Amino acid sequence: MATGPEKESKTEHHKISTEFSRNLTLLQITMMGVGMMIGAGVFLGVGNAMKVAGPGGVILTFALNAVIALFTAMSYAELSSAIPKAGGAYNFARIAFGRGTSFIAGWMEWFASSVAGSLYAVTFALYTVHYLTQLGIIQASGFQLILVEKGAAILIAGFFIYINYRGASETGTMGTIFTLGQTVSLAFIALVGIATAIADPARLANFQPFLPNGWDKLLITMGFTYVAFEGFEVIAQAGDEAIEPRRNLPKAMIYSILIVVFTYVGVAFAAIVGVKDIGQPAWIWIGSYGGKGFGEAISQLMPSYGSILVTITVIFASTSALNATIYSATRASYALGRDRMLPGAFSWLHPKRRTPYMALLFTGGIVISVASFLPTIDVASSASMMFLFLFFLVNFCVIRVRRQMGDEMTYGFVMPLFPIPPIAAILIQATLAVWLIHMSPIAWVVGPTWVVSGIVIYRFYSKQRARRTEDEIVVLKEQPIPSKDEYRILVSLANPANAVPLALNCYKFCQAKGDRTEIEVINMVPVPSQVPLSEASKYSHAGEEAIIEAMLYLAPRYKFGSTMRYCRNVARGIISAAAQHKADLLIMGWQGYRRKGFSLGSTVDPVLERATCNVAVFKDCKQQKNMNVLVPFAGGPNATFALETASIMVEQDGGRIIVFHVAPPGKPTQDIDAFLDEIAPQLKVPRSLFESKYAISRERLKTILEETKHYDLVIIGATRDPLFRQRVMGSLPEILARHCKKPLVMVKAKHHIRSLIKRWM
Amino acid sequence: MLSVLSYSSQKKKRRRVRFLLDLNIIIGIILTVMALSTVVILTLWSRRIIERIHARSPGSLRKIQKDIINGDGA
Repeated sequence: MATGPEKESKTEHHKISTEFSRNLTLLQITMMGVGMMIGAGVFLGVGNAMKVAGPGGVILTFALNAVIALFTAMSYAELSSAIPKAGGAYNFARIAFGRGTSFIAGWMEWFASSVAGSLYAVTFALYTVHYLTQLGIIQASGFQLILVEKGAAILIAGFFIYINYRGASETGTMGTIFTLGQTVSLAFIALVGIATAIADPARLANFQPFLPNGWDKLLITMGFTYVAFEGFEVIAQAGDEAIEPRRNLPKAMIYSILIVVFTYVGVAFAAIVGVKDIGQPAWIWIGSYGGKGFGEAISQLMPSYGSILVTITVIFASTSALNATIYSATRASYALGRDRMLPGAFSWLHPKRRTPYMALLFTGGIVISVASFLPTIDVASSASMMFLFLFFLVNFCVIRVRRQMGDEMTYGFVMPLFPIPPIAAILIQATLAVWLIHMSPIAWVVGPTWVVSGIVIYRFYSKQRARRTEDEIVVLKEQPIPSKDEYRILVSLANPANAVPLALNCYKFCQAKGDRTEIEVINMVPVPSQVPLSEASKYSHAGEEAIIEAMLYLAPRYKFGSTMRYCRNVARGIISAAAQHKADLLIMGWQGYRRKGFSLGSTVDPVLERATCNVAVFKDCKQQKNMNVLVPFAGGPNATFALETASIMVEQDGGRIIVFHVAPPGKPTQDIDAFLDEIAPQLKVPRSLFESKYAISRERLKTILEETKHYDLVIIGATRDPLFRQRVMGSLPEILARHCKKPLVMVKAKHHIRSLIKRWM
Repeated sequence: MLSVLSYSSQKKKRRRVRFLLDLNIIIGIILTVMALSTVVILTLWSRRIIERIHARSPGSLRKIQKDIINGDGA
């Protein structure tokens, strides 16, 4: 991983390399996360949620939301431990889905965090001015009061923009102080609530009715308060500045959820038991105050100092959240500038402070503008919606990155129970997003408008200017077939030595599929990680030669296209090419040896596992005549494709295919003849081409290996076992392929539904 | 007779409502405890995984999974 981004200084004649200072501790980043989460959400949320779902609903809302948030936090934690760079969701989407999606992710991230920041600035101003008015220090009303509130919001936003400009350490220290202050205050409120309930158990009657409006209202309150758990976003942004990021980022994310959920549940409990003798059910009384319900309840709980304590806590909470959101939004726009998705100025770092001052300037502009002029509550609902979309996307990213690049990444954390947490989070977040529509229709205007503007900017600005990342697969030379009309075969060539045998075998498939078959030949140029991708052309000579060899055989008769690409990982390159070219069949070679820990090899294993088309892997298949072909048969899902391949590979005049089945003693054998009677007409080959053969043996592998000695070619279907299970447990087809001394073809048929999912994932 | 019947049905209804309320509280408490326990367990489990990985050194997914399957991991 690159250690830090660079900036070209415009003020100096020579380039100055500047990078972030790495000095944020685990406590600091945890507190930044907690600070962003608690924000103002809990204070506004308790009263509003009580109104809708009742006293039990509030407690359940926070507890259940914490579980879903933890699922997403684990996705963030895993990805942050593998990609510890400023940018968070933008970086994850860049690696998982490419430039377009990542730009939109970063664009949403920037907006959501900036607008959330302005909401916190306004919350601070409202509570502070209200308190000062109560004390008689401020005497204003009407429009004057609004002006004072706006002025206070701008002042506090400006103050935290300055703190962020001073440096990450100052930001972290300020964040830690403010967050510790608010957490201690809230913990104190929770403890007083518990002590009161113990001293006066009659107050527990406030929990009746537990869910006055029914269970379904729980979904509304969960949707409304879910974003109060968004703080792990800011932790992901600290990848360039945290000490030991692979260890500390995931820890901070999960710790922050733990701290926050107990705080939320504790203060909600205190608010419910705090109310007494008000002449109506507690939940109706608290709910009637809406956003101020929490404050009113705590004033009842602690009559002498509740009001001042809540005010101070809200001031602490909103300022620490403001600090964290400015930090997060700045890093999101910095990352876009770093990769030239936005103008390079966004990535300029201050030579002394080492903070992205230009990104901070633009972010500060948004925060102050929104706080000054726009109806913040509705715009903040849009921000909430975009946070939900972001979390949705990140959960997809974690699945895709694991599937496609798991062996290339260095993970500091892998989530337990994968893939249950991200899938559960995706499903529940989708439901909550739908419920959010009912809460704020304006959010569905503001949010999509911002996304559409992002798409326009990407289309006309970022797409042409975006920098290439080290993980991208880059096309070196390409002569593609314009459009796919017929059956398309993708042949993956590694070197001139395997070009001719693969071309000849491909030719046989072409003959079987008809004259309009299209052939795409691809050569992946693996570039070692220590060599820059710009130097990749030095490694391309063997590939060029291989393509020319194949072209000589195939191009005169069939539609022919060729591509050379360079990449860090050959398997990923081949899989993406097969999906991109919409290949029906992928042909590749295998030299017969493997790296430790793989079934067939570091390239063949993932290709067989993840390719979205039929795959045929050829081992030692030179220019021999295939008179006798053996197909070991166990009735698996690849049996039909194995028989089809056998019928194509066998010499049509005088060749024969033996379908061989080994059953353990005492167990019934499979009825091969019935299967062949059914399959031969489907394959449009004479039934007489196939013969069946049975054996009874405890040692299936040994018996099949013994049988292979009498044949010219062995064709076997690959296992459907997942890759990891194969590596750990082993599977018969793969072991057979390794030990077979005869030419061998291993095939795997496309599974339509799985292929569709794989194409997207 | 009729009034006795209606009194009896009202009593039953009240008992049923009371039972449902109690049931809501019981389910609610169970759900809350389960949710909070899940958060605690997953947090501790994740922490343990992080420490195990860093006790050796961060690595590829395959390496980490192998450690876990071998039983000396998380």
